[in-house]
Amino acid sequence: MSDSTLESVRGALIAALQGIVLVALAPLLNGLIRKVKARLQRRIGPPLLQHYRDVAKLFRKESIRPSPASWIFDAAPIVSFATASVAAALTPAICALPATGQGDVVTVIYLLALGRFFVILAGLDAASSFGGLGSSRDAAVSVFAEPVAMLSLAVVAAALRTTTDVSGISLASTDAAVASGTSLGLLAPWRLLAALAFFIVVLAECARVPFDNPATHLELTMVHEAMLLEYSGPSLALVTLASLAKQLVLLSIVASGFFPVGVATSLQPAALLVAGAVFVAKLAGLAVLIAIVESAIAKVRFLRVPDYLGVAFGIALLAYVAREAF
Amino acid sequence: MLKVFLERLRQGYRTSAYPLEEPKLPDRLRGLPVIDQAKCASGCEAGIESCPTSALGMKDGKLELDLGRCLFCGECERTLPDGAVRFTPDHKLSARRREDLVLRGQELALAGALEGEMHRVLGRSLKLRQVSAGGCNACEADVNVLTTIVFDLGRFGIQIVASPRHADGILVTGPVTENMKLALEKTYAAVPSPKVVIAVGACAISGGPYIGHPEVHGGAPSVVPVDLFIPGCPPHPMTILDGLLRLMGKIERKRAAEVVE
Amino acid sequence: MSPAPLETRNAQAVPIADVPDLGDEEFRDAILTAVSLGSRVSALFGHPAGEGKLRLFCVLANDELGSLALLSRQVERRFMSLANDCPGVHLFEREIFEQWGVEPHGHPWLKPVRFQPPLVAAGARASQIGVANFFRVEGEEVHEVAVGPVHAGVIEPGHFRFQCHGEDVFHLEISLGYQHRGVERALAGGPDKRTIHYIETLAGDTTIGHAVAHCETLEALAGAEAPARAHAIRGIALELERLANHTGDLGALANDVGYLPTASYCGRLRGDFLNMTAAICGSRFGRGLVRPGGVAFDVEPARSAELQGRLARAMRDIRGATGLLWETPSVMARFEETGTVTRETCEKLGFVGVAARACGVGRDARQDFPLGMFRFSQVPVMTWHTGDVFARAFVRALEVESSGKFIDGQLKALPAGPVLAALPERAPDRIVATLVEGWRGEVCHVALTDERGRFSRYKVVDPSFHNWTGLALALRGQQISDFPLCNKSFNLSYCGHDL
Repeated sequence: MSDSTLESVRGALIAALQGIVLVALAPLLNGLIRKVKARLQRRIGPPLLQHYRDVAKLFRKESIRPSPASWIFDAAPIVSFATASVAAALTPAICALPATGQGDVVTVIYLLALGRFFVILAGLDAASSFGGLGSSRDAAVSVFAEPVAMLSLAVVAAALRTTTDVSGISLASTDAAVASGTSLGLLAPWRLLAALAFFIVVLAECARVPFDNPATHLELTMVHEAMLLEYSGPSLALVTLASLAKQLVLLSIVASGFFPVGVATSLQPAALLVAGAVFVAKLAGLAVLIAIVESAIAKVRFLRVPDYLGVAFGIALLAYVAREAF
Repeated sequence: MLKVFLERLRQGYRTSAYPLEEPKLPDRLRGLPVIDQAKCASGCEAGIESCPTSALGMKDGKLELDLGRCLFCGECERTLPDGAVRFTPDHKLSARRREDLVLRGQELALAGALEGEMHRVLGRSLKLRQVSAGGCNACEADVNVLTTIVFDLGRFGIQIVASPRHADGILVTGPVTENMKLALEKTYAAVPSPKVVIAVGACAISGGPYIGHPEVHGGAPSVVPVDLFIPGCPPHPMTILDGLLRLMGKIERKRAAEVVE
Repeated sequence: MSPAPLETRNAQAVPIADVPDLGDEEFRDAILTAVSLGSRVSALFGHPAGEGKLRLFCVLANDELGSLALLSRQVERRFMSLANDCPGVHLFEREIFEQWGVEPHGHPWLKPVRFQPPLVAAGARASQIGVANFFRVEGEEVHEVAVGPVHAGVIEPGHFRFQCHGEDVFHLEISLGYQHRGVERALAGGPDKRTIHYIETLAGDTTIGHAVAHCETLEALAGAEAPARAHAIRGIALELERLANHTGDLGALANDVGYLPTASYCGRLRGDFLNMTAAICGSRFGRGLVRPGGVAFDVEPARSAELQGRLARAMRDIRGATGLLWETPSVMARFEETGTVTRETCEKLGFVGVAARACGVGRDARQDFPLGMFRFSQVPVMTWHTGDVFARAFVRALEVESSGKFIDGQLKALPAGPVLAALPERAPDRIVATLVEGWRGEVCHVALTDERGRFSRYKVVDPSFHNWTGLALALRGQQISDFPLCNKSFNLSYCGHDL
């Protein structure tokens, strides 16, 4: 076998391993967000590992299908979990070397979109008015969020100049990319603005305050959870894991794509471990940031969501101008 | 945002350390009643008659008090011979079986954990859907308060959920009015197995003040199988919390609370 | 010249024979004239008068003069509805139809109220709950959203049917009755050993409000008065109930917009106020405290001092917690101009309590019809003019302040003496109407006694009975996702309506 093939196989294995590890870590990340929010309210809050217990329990429960449901209802949890897992494998996290096939964020974003598409359909499939309400709202959020995400990613990718091939946007961590991300490059205005715009998109896509309240019990105000009201048992477990994984994938793009400091530049185990530690630290920081933001502001009226995302688009545009001008 | 953090520092309140610490309860709280059979050798009829829900009775020469019907109003304490029935501030009142709630002077058999398969599945993560079937809002309010920072139900892995399909059980309050019977049945059917039913308050256990009304069905047991009974009118939030923790096996079946995990 | 309505005062027992029995036109004219002169209908209900006839009693309340007026008329199968000219009676007339089968002819919205069996014949069937002719809007993109009876977390059941266009609500119809337990039917023939427990649990979070109204009624019928110390303790308990519920509401409003700081602080503070009530009588909701002739528990000096300390700390904390709300723009953006009810609507439909005061209508039974301690200690009436969610929240915050001051004043100056007095026999053949300002609004109890002094009829009007229509109207033109917020800003009692 030639060296490059060996390299590819090794890369693929690492990507697959990353996918598994990230999906396994996703519940812990959300557990951390909940814990920090609880502490900010001076309460103890659910244990960090509670999501694991909840998911484990769901796998042992009965799955009830509402009568009007079709194959879409059964397929959606599997599709959303599968796409989220593959996205987790491909997302830039500890490294994004070409050998691993990672770094193509367009693929990642649209894999997640595919999963979301099926869940939106499933929300309509159960023929309940809440599901329909949630689906239409979620679709509306995605329409406004997508341009912001793409623009801010394009700004960063162009800055990294990692590809002359205009058909793809890659945040592959070549030496040049990492070099641009060290020292002062890390605090360049264009980078911060682009990251802020993308962070707002993350809040919207992961159903966090101010766009949605993940802890709400009010069906009429739900966006994301409304589509899941009819799921139970293992299906609910899969679709819950999928949204937790999606949250981690998006945050890893912020952590390692926008701020590629500490990312591994080779496939050496030592380098990967160090990069892993840095990555976990960045994620934890982002989790705390989300918890602080959620604890300080209120959820906006749904009709104002496009306004907020419009502001995010403006910030992304500013980032582009800042990059081009300086 | 600065104000938010300053306010938080000022408010500084901690979650209660229950069950590692005994809770601070009001001194006049009417908790577990204690029967002294000796004081009732004669002349208890007036006291028995005074109970609004007929929770008191005489069986085989012994005074009986049905906690499931008891409103904890203290009327019997006033009308019975001194000391025959005494309400103590003990908040531990929950039981697994309806018959365990009838006191004859013996120790109350407190609720034990779910058995076998149920415990393995639900012992560390319990999601409940609350159904108010005619409740007066007092039991509902005291269930709601369990999610606030003083009691913080979330730290035990217990959560109140919006959809019965996401739930592991239902928490019933109210005497189950005729107009809510169907809704209760449908909600119970929508919960995936394995599932539990918890009846909170005198109304949910037996109908409470509304026992005998044709408009109600005399509590949850007449409609769904009940796994945990929590008496009171309304039960103190600590009583409800104690019952839920015992069901999950986080407190052993002893009088003194011993935390299992 | 037709006899004028009988003028009386709050909690004053008068002979039933003195209540004028008017004819069809006279009854109508008397009510419409009184309403146009500033009165409102506090109660309108039926009572069997023998020989297949029903006697309708009406209690008119004049806030300005602080007086009540009683009048009645006899009907058989139907009568001319007043709802078109006096919208405030619409729900009372529907209730009369449901309870007695007597039709208010010309009523624009004759639908079931509680889906209860009629009070006429024992064992008569009720209509099936939830099956009603719901108002529908037809159109290309109009859709209907039905919520409840089991809905939104830990709350009582009710059915809400929205006619929506996208996120906009054209019309909301509220259908209740799920909590009906047969309280009014059971109260007749009393008082017996269960009566006080019905009163305390008919609206479980307004235990003190209803218990005080009931005991004032019994004391009026017995021609006696509770001791001054008991009145003070009743006042303290009533205001503590107000404090606890308003605090809970402010926290819940913050929670519904996802603003966690105030939500969590208020959650704890509400518990603190409830625990103060429990320190007095052992029950967080005040069960067992208010009894005919006074109160069952005393507040001795040591307890009073401790309560004052706890109260002071809690008042400081609630001020801080609610202050955050007004200073957070994202919260105010959700509260202001949401769920607005105009002053005109409020006066036409006769809303009471916080909902009315938030529209600028300064209606408060503690000031207009004072009983007990409120005859000597005034509590200022708080109003705001915008009628939106913010107004209802702000009025609550203001009332929290004034209630805190009232309780502190009472604790520092409790009158000496006993707390419970024995009551003489109740007078026969009397009617008495009692108004008490519960924390939601005006609680109205009307009792009629028979020849032995037992209740031949006991009518309970919870403030929610007047205000549920307000919620339905407040949602018109609003976003459907604002419904929980509007609902919480009214926070009406389902079981108080359903009895």
